[in-house]
Amino acid sequence: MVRDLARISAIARRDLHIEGSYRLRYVNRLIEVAITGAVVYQLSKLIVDSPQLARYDGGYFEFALVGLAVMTVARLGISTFNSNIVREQTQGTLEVLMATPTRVAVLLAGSFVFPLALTAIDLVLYSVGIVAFGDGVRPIGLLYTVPLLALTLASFCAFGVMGAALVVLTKRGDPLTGPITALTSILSGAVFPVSTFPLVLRVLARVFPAYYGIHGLREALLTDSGWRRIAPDIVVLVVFDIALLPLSVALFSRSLTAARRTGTLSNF
Amino acid sequence: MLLVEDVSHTYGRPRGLQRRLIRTASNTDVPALSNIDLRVAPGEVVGLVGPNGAGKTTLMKIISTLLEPTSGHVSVCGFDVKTQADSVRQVLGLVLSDDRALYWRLTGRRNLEFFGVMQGLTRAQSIARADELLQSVGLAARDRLVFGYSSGMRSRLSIARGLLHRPRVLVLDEPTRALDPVAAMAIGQMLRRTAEEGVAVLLSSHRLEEIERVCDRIVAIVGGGVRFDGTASELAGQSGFAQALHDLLTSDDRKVEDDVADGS
Repeated sequence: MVRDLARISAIARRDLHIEGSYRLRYVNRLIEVAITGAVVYQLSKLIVDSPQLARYDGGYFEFALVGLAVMTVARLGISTFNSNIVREQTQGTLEVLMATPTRVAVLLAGSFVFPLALTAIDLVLYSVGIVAFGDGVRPIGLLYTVPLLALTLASFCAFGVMGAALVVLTKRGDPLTGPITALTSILSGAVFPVSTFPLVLRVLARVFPAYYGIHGLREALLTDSGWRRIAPDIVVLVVFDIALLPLSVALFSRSLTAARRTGTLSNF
Repeated sequence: MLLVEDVSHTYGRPRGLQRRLIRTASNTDVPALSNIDLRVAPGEVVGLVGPNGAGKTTLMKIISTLLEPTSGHVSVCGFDVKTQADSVRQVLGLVLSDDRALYWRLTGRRNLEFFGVMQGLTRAQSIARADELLQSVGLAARDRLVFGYSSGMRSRLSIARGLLHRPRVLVLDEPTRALDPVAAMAIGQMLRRTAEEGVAVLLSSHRLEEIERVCDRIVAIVGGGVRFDGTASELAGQSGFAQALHDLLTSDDRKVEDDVADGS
C-alpha cells in the first residue's frame, strides 16, 4: 500500500514536470474557462425569466455554470485514461511501464492525479464566477457537492477505463469515448434544461450519469430543496457506479491480456 | 537464472472486434519462434544473434512478460512468466532497443528517479541509485531534458534504467545500436562488471566484435529456431568467428518475415 502511494505520487510528479514544461498550456486553460464564463454571462442577460428556469429563480448564469462544472468533471473521467494510454503508446513508454512490477490500477490512478488537480482549479474558477457575477449559491448545498461530483466522476471514470480498454485493442480508433462525450454534452442538460427537449430525448437523457449529477447539484446549490430531492440522484449515481466500475476494470484487464497475447501492446 | 524451455510463438491474426476496428500489418498467423531452448546462468553473459526478423525481440518480450508465449515455459529466477509475472518483473531488468521508451520532456535524472519508484524503490533509494547510475554511464554532468540527448546518451540512459533495481537477470535488446565504438566498448565493460556481480545477462546485438568480446556464450536464432548454442571459439572453427557467424546467419531456409519482430 505504501509503495503504491509512492508510485502514485511519482506519476503525479512526472506529469507535473512534463506538463510544466509546456507553460503556456495552463494560461490557455485559464483563459478558456474565463471566456466560457464570460459567454455564459452574456447569454444570461438574454435569457431572463424563462419559465423552464423558474425553479432556479430564473438565473441562467448559475444554472449553466453548474452544468458546465459537472461536464468538466465528466470529461475528466471519460478522457483521462484513454488519452494517457495513447500518450504512453505513442511515446514508447507503455511497454517499459508494463515491464515494471507496478499494478495497472496504480498506473491508472497515478495518471489521474494531475488532471484532477487541474480540474479542481477549473471548478474553483467556476465557483468564483458564480459568487462574483451571479446570485451565489445556497451554502448548505455545498455539503452535497463533493458526493455528487465524486459519484459522477466515478461513473465517467468507468466509461473512461472502458475507452482505455478499447484503445489498447483498437489504438486511436476508440469508438466509445467520443460518442459518449458528445451525447452527454447535449443530453445531460448542462447548458439548457432537459425539460425543453422532445419526449424521446428527455427519456434518453436519463441514460447518462451526468444528468443526475447536474440535476442533483442544481437542486442542492440553486434551490431550497432538502435531502429528499437530492437523494434519488445520489442513489441512481451509486447504482451506475456499482454496475459500471467492475465491468470497466474487467474489460480493461481482458484487453491487456489480449494485447499481451497478440504482441500489440506498444502498437499505435 | 533464466530458463527458456521449448518456447514457440505465433502472432495470431486479429480476430473479432479488433479485426473489424483496426487495420493491422498482417491478416494471417505469423510464426515467430519455434521450440526455443535457452539457459543463462548467474554471472554469465549470453549473446543472442540473428538476422532481422529472426525472433530475438519476440523472445525478449516473452521473457520480460510483455508477450505470452503460444507454448513452452519460461522462468526467471524460478518465477514463471505466465503465472508469476509480478515476481518476474521485480528481478528482471529490461533495456529495449527503442530509445523513445523514455520521457523526453523529463531530465535523465528525473527519468531514473521515476522508474526507480515504479520498480519498487523508495524515493530516497531511487534518488541515490539514479546518482550512482548517471555516474556509471557518464551522464551525471549532462543532466538535461532527454529531448536534448544524442541517441547514444539515450541508449546509456536506457541501460541505467534497466539496472535501477539491481536486477538478477538483465535482458538487453540491441543496447549499443546507436553508440559509437568507444561508448559501445564502455557499455560492454559495464555489462561484464554487472555479470561479475552474479547477474545473468542476455544481450541481443548485431555487433560481432561486441558479441565476441563480451559474451561467454552465443545463441544464434535463425528463422525462429535456435541454430547454434555455444562459445565463440566453438563457432569460429577453421573459418574465423566473423565468417562462421555470417555463414550461420545466412543459412536461413525459411523466408524471414521482417515484421515478426514486433508482431505488427
